[in-house]
Amino acid sequence: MLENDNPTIEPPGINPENPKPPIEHTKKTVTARKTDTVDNIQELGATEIPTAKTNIHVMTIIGQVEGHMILPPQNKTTKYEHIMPQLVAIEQSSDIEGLLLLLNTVGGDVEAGLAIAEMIASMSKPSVSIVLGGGHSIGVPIAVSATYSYIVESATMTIHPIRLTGLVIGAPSSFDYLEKMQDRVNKFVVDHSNVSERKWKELLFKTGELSRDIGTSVIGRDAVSYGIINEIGGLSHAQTKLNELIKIQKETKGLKQ
Amino acid sequence: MTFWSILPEELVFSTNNFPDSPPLYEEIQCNNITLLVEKIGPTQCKVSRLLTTNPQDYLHPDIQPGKILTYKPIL
Repeated sequence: MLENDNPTIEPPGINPENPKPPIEHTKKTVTARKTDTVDNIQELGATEIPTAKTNIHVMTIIGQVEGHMILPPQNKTTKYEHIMPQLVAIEQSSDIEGLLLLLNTVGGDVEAGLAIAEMIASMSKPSVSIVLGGGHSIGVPIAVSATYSYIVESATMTIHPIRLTGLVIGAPSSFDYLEKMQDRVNKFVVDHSNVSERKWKELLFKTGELSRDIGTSVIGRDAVSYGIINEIGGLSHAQTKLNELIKIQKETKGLKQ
Repeated sequence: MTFWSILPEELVFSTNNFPDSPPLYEEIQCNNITLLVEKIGPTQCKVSRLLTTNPQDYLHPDIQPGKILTYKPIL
């Protein structure tokens, strides 16, 4: 383009040998492209999202674990119907090689929680969990369901017995029902972690540690020493471990074939 | 349903934490990514959460939580 095509009057003091248009031009393109994407979202509900390949997918278990009942909107929830198909998709996808689980949960529906935990435990792909902040109640089975589990030092896990929330009332049969429910959780945790059943029950029924209930609040390092969680560590530890597990799995698969 | 949580029951199941009107959440699809959005008007919504396991999806600038999206009819 000729400079004379669109003549402009330069303000005095600006050297005509050093024009700025090229910079402005680049800026304009960037803005224009951005608005295009926004327009696409607004008009078509779609946009060209860059799809960078990643071999590790991440799943967050946050707030309450929600099962059969939709909880009131003040609860932040992890929904069974979101998690389950995602786990199936991760298992089936040939691009995904590992799963990273991030936990910061206060508990929730026992059956939904156990279902998620069983799904993760039965996956063929390696999974690593990190307990951040808190992994309480039904969060414990989910945390231990991963192939390898980490807890950050500041995180806590509250281990306490399942109690009544009003649906099953009175009569010795309800005690039996809860007992059985508790046993399912106990068995899962004992099977999927290094904690002994005796130690687990001791933590579960300990008196004097929690104000509202019996049970224990287990902090980072203690969770590891009791054998519930494998190791203390954060994101980089988990990432390294996951890559290691993926490598091991690839090697064993290679040997089998 | 058996609920096992450290939060007291009355806190989880209470429905009067929002005296006026509770936020209305909706799940929408945006380029194959499920978004949990809060409706803030008949034609607008605010991205609240991304429901995807692909970590790369979370980097996309146009669907960051807090972004306001506008619904427009597809003709």
